[in-house]
Amino acid sequence: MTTYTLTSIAALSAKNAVLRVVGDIHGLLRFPFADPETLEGALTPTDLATAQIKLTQGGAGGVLALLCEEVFGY
Amino acid sequence: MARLEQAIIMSREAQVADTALFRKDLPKSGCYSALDIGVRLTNDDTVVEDKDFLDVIKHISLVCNGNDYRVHISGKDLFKHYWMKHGRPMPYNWTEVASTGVNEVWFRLEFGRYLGDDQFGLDLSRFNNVQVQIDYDCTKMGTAGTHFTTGTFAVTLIAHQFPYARRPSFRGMMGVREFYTGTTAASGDLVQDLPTANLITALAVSCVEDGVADGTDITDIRIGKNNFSEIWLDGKWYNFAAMQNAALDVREEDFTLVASNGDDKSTHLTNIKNIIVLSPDMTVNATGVYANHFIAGTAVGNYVTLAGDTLTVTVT
Repeated sequence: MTTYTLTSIAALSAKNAVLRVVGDIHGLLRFPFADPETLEGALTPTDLATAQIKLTQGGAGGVLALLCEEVFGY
Repeated sequence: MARLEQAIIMSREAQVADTALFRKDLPKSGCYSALDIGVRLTNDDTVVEDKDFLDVIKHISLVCNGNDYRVHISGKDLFKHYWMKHGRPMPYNWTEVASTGVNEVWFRLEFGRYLGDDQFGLDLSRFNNVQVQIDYDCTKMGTAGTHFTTGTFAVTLIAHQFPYARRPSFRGMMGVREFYTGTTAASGDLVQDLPTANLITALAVSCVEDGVADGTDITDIRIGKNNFSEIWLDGKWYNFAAMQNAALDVREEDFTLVASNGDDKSTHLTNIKNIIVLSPDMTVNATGVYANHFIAGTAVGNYVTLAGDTLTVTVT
């Protein structure tokens, strides 16, 4: 008969492992204004003349970046 | 629609410097729908723990005529922006394995509405000079010669271009740029003007803080004009996050770790719903002694903290 004897338990140390996490993208939101095909709804320079974004801050130390997707004419 | 060609501009070209501003002039003519950028770095003998390869890429830029930045964005934001826009990430390999492990990630600069768009794209002949710039710092992965192998930062550039004989006449091109960067304060509103020179098709807000519950320090976002007498968008971060992430095709991220009990690992996901950790490293010796590794993880924000034991079993 085979006998299995637990001889030790030690804290894991430097062993290969694979990690998979499932969740939401960390700290990024994207707000499309334009139809992706026709670009209808894009914010024009006329709209943008007085356009602003307001962020309410709820904690210090967050690394912040504001990004825009633009269309450049030739 | 013309069949696009994939032109290899450079292939895994290793850079001598571990910290530098990489510059590559693009050809003088050609019509690009997109440009793929792949970067790699080889690990060295000492395991690098809880470092993010995306931090190495401080900025990726497309600079026209010397000072006209059509793309300017950090590697971390570009990776996540593509993921959010298309529902899946570009290819990546995050590994902590010493010596043989190679961290790799790809980015795509999109100049049209979609690949093969004949209305919008990058027409190189319209500029005197178009340069790709990658501002990188490999020391974000640790110490040269210890954690990463010096001189192994390598760059690949692949252009998705229209055939020379079937070049379209583009109306314009698209780009994505940072227009503000900073650090959040404990409270109060931050108001910024939007750029006014060009059509804007989308805006994005990036705000990260590692290891905090929601992974961000912004609670509310409002976009409008005329001192917000006209409002285009107004809401809570957590509501926008739920709505936008629900549309993703890929919501998981994979890592290869060298794990110890109590290790932290920062990921590019937050609100983590599921953690799977497995060790393929079981050992058996001739006398029938088995070492089995059991690991679990708990998450706070984008941090996963590992807890694990090695159980040794003798078989007689």
